[in-house]
Amino acid sequence: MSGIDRRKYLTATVLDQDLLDWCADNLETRIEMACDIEAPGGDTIRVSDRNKYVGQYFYEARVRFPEIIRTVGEWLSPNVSFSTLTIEVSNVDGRYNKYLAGGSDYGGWIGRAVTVKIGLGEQDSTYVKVFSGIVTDVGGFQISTRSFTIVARDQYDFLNDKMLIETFKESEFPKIQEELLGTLKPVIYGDYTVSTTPFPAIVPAYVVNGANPQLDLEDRDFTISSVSNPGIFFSRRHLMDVGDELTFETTDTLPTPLSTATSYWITSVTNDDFTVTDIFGGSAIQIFDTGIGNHSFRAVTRVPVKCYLTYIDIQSLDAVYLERENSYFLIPFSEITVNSGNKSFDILQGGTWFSVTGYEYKQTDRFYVKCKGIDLGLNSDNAVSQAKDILSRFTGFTETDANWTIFETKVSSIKSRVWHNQDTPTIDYVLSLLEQVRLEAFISGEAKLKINSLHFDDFVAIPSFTVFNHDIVKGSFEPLIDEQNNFNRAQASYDFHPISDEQASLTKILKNQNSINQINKKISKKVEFPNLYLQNNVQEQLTEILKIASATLYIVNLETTWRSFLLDVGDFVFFNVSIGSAVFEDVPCLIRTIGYDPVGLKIILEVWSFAMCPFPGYEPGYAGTVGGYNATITEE
Amino acid sequence: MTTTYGYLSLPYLMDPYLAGVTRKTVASQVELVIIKDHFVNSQTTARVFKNHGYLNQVELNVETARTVLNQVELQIVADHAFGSQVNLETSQDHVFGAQVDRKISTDRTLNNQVNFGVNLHEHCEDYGYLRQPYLRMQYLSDYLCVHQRSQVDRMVDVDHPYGSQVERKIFKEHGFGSQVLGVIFRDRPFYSQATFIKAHRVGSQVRAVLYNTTNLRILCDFPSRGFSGLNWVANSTATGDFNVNNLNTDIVEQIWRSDMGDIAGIELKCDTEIPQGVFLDTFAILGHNFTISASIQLQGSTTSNFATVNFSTDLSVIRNHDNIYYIAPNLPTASYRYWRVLITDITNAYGYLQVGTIVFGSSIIFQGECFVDQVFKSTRHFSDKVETEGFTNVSNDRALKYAVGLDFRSLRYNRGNYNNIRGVFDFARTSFKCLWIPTPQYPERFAVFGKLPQIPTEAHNNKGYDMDFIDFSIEVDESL
Repeated sequence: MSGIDRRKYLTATVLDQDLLDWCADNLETRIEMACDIEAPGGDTIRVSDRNKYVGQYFYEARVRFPEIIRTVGEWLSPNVSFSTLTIEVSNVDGRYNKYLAGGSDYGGWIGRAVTVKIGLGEQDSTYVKVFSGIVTDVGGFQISTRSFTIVARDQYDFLNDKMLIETFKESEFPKIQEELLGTLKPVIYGDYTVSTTPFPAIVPAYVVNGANPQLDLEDRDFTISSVSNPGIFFSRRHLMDVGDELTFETTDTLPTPLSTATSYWITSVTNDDFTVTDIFGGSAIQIFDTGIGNHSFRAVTRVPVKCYLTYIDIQSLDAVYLERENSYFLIPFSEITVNSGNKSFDILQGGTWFSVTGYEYKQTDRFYVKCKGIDLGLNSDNAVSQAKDILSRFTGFTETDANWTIFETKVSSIKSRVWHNQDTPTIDYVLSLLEQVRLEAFISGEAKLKINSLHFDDFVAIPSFTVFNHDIVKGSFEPLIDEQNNFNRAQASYDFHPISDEQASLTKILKNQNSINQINKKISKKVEFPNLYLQNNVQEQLTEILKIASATLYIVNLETTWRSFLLDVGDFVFFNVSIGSAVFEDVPCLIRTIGYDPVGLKIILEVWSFAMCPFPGYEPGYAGTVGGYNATITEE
Repeated sequence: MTTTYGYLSLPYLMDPYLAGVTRKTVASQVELVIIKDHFVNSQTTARVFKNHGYLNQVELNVETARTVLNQVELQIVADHAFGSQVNLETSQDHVFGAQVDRKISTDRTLNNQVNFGVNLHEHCEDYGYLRQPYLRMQYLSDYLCVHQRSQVDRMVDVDHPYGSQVERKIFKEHGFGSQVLGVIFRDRPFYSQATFIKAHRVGSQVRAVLYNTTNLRILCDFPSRGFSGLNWVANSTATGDFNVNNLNTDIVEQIWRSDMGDIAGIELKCDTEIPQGVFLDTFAILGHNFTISASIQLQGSTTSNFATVNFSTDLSVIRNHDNIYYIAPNLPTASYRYWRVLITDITNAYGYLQVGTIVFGSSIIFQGECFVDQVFKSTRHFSDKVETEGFTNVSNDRALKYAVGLDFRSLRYNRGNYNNIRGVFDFARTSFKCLWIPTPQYPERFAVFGKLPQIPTEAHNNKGYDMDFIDFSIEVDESL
């Protein structure tokens, strides 16, 4: 398609595929890059690889652009690539010295915004952001005699920040046991009232007053740190309060005038010291010596066991179990005080639900609950909804593409739940959740976190864009078999149980016998579904994954001309290419990675070729096709 | 003599341009009148038609004896052979003032044809007039020690090497008014190319101007940019990075643009911030978007409001060129601090007017020697090309830029042109853009506002001190 105006790009106000096709037919366009750098003092440094205007702003020729890459990562070991951009800005004439150390407008560069955009000539309406980031705090700004260099990381790099940052602290729980200090507080999504077999409950409740002498009334050692009036008792982190009653024991002779089997009361405390009185409400007593032997004190009155589930409100607390010596005891709610948001609860001691003598806490006691996690309405069990909430709640990220809603609906029959207390990057956990329902996330061309589907029915059989020989940069076309994702036999482990810290269940082994026969080899893989807990859900996902993996997937790395500029990760394109032994005749391919090489504006692509993987609407008809949506997957 | 400095007492051409510090009212020492063509070898006729008063030091062709201070009588009494056009002979005794016997008693070799012996002169031990290469020492400097009435020692008594700047001989016939040949080979500092003017209010005997509109001219220094760089005012400017002072940048792509819809009555006014004003012999508007029917005027004034327009000329848009040039047809003798460009372009389809860069000022102008006829002009297409598997390549276009190559052959070493262009090399190096106009008669053809990719290697044909001829080639590239 072409016409009399062979340089339509000079007057175009919209950069769309029609224009790119028109330009490609005339073998020429003018697509350019421009960069905005937020400078100290609020100025904006506008630079490009040529002198040019974009709209009303002038961009000075002072940089060479690096490649900018976006990717959906590896299937089954997903990651989102957050580009790091290094731009060296020429300053040979000292133009920007005012922004450098010692300059009049110096104010530091860390955290300053950096944006790279691509579009047509001066027409600002055609420009598309391909990188938005901030100057990094480590090595983000360097200077030389000729230039200064900005190192910026993607604006969404913060998604790599840790998902959980709240820990158990003594300031919040003064009588917490020391081994729990610094432990991350868990977060809970989904339904933990079901599929807990073989346990009655699997969500742990942390005892957060386990160091309180009044919890178990066990002996605590003490010494006399000051023989004086009053006498000062030393017991590291004794955790007694003024007014608490206690008694003393010894292996030989207690300090004078203390005696065993006698009640005393605390009159003053510091962290490790206390004084006592022998009359409730009386004055602290004098101690005349340090006694002989080892001494201990014991609290007299039991307090409730304080248990903690999570730091975010959850829907419900449905049951609480005591586990003692591998036996589980359901604790009646009459013995439990549930605190606000179902995040914590207190268990009374002395209740006869445990024994006729009443329940008394022991340090070895563990508590587990049945509960329902964070309330996401009707989507509380939905993996996509949970992923979205995690992003929003733990990173503040809301720039999710509109297609998240579509996939929320699509996977609504698959149940997911989350109990997590690990030091994991938020995005990693989100990607893991999505992967289990055959979805992937990537940063889209519109700088949104978008979902890519690996469901057969979402594949596009007749893409609107076709890559021809003349779109491919000479010598760049490199097809290779995806070794990592080619397997024909698989088993899934699923349903992570916090109680055991591992997946609780395994599916049966599934296989594609035709594939095994074809290559005369079993290639096995274990696939994990920690957040799915219903066997039929997991088996279905594993089956579909095996259908793709047992087809011979090709990865093709190539560079194309700027005609592919508007393509994005997750897009399907036809390959109609014949280069020597690489022959692709109308083969649908899925873009996994896209990048922009500023030299000639080449588009860097990594695609999956579906030449041997039929899906609805696409029947390649090649001999030896054993995978794809209609592949036969059987139980072994 | 009524002024501090007497005429010819200052270093010639070393004082300020058009300074006019010499003031003479009485006692013009020499009067040369040429009233008709002369035959070969008789180019110089000096007649004194009447008696002169006090201090007539020299009278040529004295027809009668004088009684008052006629110290010299010069008479030609016979034809002379080639090379001896003037024979100064005293054929008779004189009663008064016959102090000098000007007989030439022997033949002279070439270049010694003229003997201006003035025996009463007292020569300095240092340098005497015309004993050093002309204009290499200060003119009539203290090295010349003369007594009253004997200001000039015209004795040429030795052969001079090639390149002696002044030899007061004319070997061939010249047309009317070309009796005096003044050649200056000596290097001049920057901006002194056209300083061969000595304007005198009274008794201005000589006006010598070196100016042309045919040879290479180079505008290196841009007084149009003022001292502050913020010296332009426009009566319409679009929002954004379209400040009118963008006209001062070497980046032609960085433009001034009028507001949308303002395409008539646009004024771009420049205050050069130079109180003495700017002599404008070269002017260029680069990177404009005017149509061929635009009306453009360049005006100069001594007042900022242009109440009086002292200079005005119309400029024309050249078809298919986005640059406009103005070359002053004659050396400008007036300077103006304020300059402006008035533009009306009502057919402009963009709906706004824009200009990349404006430069003006006084150019360095080649005299006599110039580049050879063959000019290399290149049009460079900057485009990122990607070769494809489809046996073709596709381009991501960048720009068209121009370059011009000039060859210089046998430039005389250490003379004006050579030294001028060396001055350009030293000043602009490979980093400053200059406006190079090889053919001022049709500037748009080869003019380039660009840089030198490299300072050229010079081939010196070494013949001895001050006798070299130099070859080199330059290229000026606007894409650098």
